[in-house]
Amino acid sequence: MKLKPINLKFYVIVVGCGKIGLEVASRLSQIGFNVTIIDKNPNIIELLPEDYGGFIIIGDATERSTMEQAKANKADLLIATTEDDSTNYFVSMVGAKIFGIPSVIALVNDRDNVPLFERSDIKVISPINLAVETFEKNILEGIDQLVGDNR
Amino acid sequence: MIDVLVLDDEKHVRHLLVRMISVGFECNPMEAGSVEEALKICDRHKFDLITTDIKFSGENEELDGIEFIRRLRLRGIFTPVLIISAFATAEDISEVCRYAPIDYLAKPFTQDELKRKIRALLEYRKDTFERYLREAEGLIHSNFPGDLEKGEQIVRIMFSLMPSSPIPHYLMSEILEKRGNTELAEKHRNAAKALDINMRGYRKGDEIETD
Repeated sequence: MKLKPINLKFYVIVVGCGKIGLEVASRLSQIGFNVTIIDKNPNIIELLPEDYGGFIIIGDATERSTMEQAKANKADLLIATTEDDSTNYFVSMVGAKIFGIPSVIALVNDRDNVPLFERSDIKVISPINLAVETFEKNILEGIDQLVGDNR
Repeated sequence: MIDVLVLDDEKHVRHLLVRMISVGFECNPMEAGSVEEALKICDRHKFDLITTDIKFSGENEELDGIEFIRRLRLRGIFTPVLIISAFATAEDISEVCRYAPIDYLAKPFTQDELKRKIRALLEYRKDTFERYLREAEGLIHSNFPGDLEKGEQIVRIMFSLMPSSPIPHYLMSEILEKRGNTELAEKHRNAAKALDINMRGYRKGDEIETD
């Protein structure tokens, strides 16, 4: 896929560097985003791919000083990808309301929490919903063939 | 087109800086991961700008960004330096202020912030260069004892400020001519002409071309 040259003009903060956060941060950096990762775990530096180009802040993103250190007021996009929905919600709200980040996307691990995030204008990525939708799409695409075979 | 050296022990920051500077200034920056490596590179190459971190992880803790800048200046290299660090203290900044031209940018940063800092440093370098040019001209054309030596010292700083400018070569050829070293003077004049594509010379009132 040929991507548009973004040329590092967009500043993105990725909070949480688990499996998903790590992959998202790495891909955004490869595409040409200016990425800063915030994570409590100092060992994440070893997990990052060789060609990662961006910043890493070891700290707690729920603390205002960490977000200030990350220059959150200058971010174009905030992505919250921790395993804890409360943390993702809190960080997303602080990012949007206090630091005025124009676009916020959060990982919502428990699908029951999805409406809460959506009511707060946070874009939601729900792994369960995504999986279910993908299964459904795949099954529906193959349904004609399945029905045909049973006739 | 500018020549840049990026010094940082964190590979991911180096990668980002190289990409940002390449995009913003159409150049291919060189990289160094340690102060020792950077000093070796600076002995062989001339740069228009150097970026450096302050704190370096390694065996030799004393060999940090501040020590790097100090050693650069001791070597007679007056290239503008942009300090890029997350942990610089007020003491660090006041310590390096004496090694101008110098500026500071906190990590992380946006591309706009980096561009503004680099442009300002290059602009400052141009102003400093013009000031030195006026000073050197005065000293070269004065017949006061010792002025020629002072002029030569200034011209040497001008060489390190703008390595690709023909002006220090023109000035050096005049100094050498005055001393009667016509052979070396001729070499500098030829070097100046080779760099001076538009044959503008350097006389007062001339617009100095930036890189």
